Amino acid sequence: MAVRYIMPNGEVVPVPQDVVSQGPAAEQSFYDNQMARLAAEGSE
Amino acid sequence: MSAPKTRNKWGFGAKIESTYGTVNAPTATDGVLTLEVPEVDQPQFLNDGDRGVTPGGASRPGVNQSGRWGGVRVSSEWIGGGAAYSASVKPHLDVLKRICGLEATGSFTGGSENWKYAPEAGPASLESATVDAYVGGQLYRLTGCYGTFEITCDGPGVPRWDFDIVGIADVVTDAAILAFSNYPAINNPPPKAENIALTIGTFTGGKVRSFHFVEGREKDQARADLNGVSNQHAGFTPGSRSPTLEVVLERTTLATVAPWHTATTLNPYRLAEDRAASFICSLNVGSVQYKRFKLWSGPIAAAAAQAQLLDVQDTNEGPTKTWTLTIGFRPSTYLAEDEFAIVGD
Repeated sequence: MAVRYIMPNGEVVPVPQDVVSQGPAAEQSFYDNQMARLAAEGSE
Repeated sequence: MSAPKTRNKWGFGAKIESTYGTVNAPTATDGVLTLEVPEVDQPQFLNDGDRGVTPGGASRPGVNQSGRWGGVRVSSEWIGGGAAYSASVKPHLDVLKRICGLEATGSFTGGSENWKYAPEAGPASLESATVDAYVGGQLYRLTGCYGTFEITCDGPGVPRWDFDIVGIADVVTDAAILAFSNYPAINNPPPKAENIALTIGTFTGGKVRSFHFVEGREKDQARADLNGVSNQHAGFTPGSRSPTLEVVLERTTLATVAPWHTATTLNPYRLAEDRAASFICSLNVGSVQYKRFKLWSGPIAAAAAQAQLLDVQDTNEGPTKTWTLTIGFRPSTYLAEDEFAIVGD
């Protein structure tokens, strides 16, 4: 994948190409979902 | 009487493709602000249909042209997000850098948000884009676009980013310029090359006249496809890269011992000859967070001693003696793709 995020916990998350091709709004939504996942994992 | 087509107004958009060569038409939020009218070289053909001459000394009628492709060159400026970077706030040239073989890594820790770009392994991970150039009332669309870029700064001004892009060409059509809505705010100016802190190893005392970074990525290997139904051009395969930074600066006192650089002295002749010790090479353009950019040798984590001086030329600027240095960027291992990084922070 050509775009990836370094999450606050240091995890590197690649962004799927079909998300990237939709543009910044889709990428922001994907990132927000990843943050929600981390929050849920942190509370487990 | 109809009005003529003019070059007074133009538009340029680029959108990353999900699958190579599959059109992903740029919308009003995919504009790229360019310095001048895109320089379009389209259409071109793998086969122009010429058939040579006749026994009578005339030219034979040609057959149809096949394998339609094209190129476009645009010049632009680095304009940062102007606000804290996020998944949806990026430097303005994000898409064009990514189709030049750079991967983008975003990190959004509060107060230090950034986007960093570094060479990416291919071919599966390489990104392509559909690129639309609106010139003279006509739309020139390219799909499966790859490119390469240069950064040129000839004085204490705004560095110019030049992109050379090739792709599979659509037929040219009449089209009104799309009303791009994502251009940077007009009060978000590009950074200028002032106080650039050029670093060559430990040498920081240079009086720098200019710099010119060339990514040097090969991108022109065409893929002919005789099975193609409507177009016998299947796109391009990028090749290797050879990033270099050419710097013109005033000559200084020569450093007399290895590693041939101190804070105020430099010996480019010995540094180019003795390639044993690589050095850090870096520069910054702009100082305002979320507007500036940085270029350094090494991975995105931090600048590293991965630059080598490839060549030194004795040059002059009027009566002033200068050096023109050509600095190369090298990976940390034989498998790494970390020879340089461009950072927007």
